[in-house]
Amino acid sequence: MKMPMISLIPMHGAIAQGRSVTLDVLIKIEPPLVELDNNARPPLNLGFVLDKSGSMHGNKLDYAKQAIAYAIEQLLPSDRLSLTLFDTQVETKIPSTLATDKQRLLETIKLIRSGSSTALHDGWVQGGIQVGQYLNNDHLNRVILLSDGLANVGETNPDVIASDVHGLMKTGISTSALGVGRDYDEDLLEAIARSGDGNFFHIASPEDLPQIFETELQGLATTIGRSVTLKLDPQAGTTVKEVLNDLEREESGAIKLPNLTVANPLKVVVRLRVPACDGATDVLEVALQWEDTEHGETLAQTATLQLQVVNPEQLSDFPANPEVQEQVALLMAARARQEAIDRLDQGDVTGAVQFLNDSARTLEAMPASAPLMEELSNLKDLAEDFETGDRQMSRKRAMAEKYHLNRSRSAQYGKKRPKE
Amino acid sequence: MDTLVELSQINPSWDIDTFVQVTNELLPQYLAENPVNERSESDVNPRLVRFYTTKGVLDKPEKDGREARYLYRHLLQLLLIRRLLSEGYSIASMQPIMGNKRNAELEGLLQGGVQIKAEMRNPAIAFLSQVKARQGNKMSFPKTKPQDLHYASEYGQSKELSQAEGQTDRVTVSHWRRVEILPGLELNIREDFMPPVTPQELANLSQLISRKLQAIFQFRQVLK
Repeated sequence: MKMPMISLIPMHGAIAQGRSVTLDVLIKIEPPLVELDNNARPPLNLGFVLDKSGSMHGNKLDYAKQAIAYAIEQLLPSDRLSLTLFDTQVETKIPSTLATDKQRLLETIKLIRSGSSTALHDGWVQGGIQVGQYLNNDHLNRVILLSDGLANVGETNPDVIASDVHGLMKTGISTSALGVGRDYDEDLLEAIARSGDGNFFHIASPEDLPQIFETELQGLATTIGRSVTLKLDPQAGTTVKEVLNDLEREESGAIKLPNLTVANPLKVVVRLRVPACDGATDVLEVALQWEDTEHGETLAQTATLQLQVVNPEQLSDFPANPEVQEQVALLMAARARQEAIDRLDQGDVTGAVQFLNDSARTLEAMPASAPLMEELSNLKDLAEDFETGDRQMSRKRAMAEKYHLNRSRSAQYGKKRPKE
Repeated sequence: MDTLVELSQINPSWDIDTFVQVTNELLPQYLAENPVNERSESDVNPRLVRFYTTKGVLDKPEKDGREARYLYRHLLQLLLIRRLLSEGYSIASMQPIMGNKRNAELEGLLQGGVQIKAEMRNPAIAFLSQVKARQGNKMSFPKTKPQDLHYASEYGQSKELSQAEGQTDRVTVSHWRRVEILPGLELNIREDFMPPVTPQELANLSQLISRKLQAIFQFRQVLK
């Protein structure tokens, strides 16, 4: 495959001679520009796992059914899907099958009726088995779990569930988690998506469901690299103070990144402590590793950041880089959401709102750009939600927006039509 | 003929002809008794050894000057390649396994590594089986409807899983076969247990059973 391009962009193009300094560096990973032929993409192997507990009755279930029907219509005959339903019991409604006889599949979806409680973990296991039976590492294997409630039958310990999801991910099956409405456990679903290397979506109103499914499918269909990790190797006495993105780490310490998808650059910001130096110095080496979905090979690429060293008087010739500033601001806005959630959990609503408003003010003071304008209006809207709206819903929304921002996506990922 | 254990202790370094000869002597113990792939019954030769090396399932030999030297690990790998071939695995399916496993794991696979075999066949299903077994022990797994069992049994791989399903709130986890060895002594075999396929595996299993029994009987003697 054509290789992605890694750029290491420091906040300032140079540092002052003989002074140690804290410097933010944007690591931008741009997937190669490739024409994706929809018929040539790797086959999808999907397991839909749908909550049909009593609370899903009505709108939610209707839209969920529509969303799955929509997904079925998009699949190619070489794709597989299965549908597992859970309430108190687990039922394999459609055992894993090629998406050939779409009419029959759509009929089956139509007939789904709601039931009683929520055996979320067991439903997920069964969905995983359906995908697992046709596990193929050249395909994109994913369980898509949709729920509106709390896991209350079977395994309910979030740590155990997340660790199971992680274990399955290591065998090659990722899991996305979609929460509908105000009653699901966003901490659990976020943990599932995070450990499952999938997406986490908060679906406030059921009519957003088809849109979200489209985003999820398109994300899969445009995947060109998965199991993406980034290793940071600071040089010459430099240390990494922090990684601004809130992302999982591998045992080796490498940062786990989302899948590489066409036309979606991944952006990670690291805050470096660079010791005093006298001449141009290599301060950071990064190694990107990913599994190419076309040939299943593990590929790697490295990049090195060399910093210019200048007289302190010349520093003003190297103003802050707007692209780095923008990304730092977006990640800080993600962090503000976490702070707001923490405050809310302590019962401090005013504090929560304040964090969001402070973050919004910081954004306002920055040079305007389309992503920043969008994020600014999101933040204000969210602050208002926290202040006057349904707190349970606001918390979920903040959680999902934070998840997307940390993964180089707009806070509204999935709410708008994905880029064509 | 030396056993595998004895060979492991002498830190062998063979040239290719000796390596092939040693392998061929040991091979019959480790092959499936009813091979899926008949060709795998025949002996190995230097040409095959080089072929496996180029395919990446056998580590590259060590070099002693210009001569290739084969070590104990190469022996483990070659025995395992032939064994897996005789069971119908393809060379491609072995590639991810051979280079990564430590010697002890390769030994385990040869001597009766049931778990690793399941893992190799389908790591996702092997993993979820463990999850289900754990849940089953907690007696919390919900009912699975009969049609699920029916679907599941359509696929060979999922057979072992379907046993864990079908349970209600009561503890009926799986199907067991009961074999009476002697009056007063029974052996229970769960349906998903992978039976030994080579003489070596059977010998190891028997040894394991007798060790367990010994422990119990000695205990009882002490009580008396």
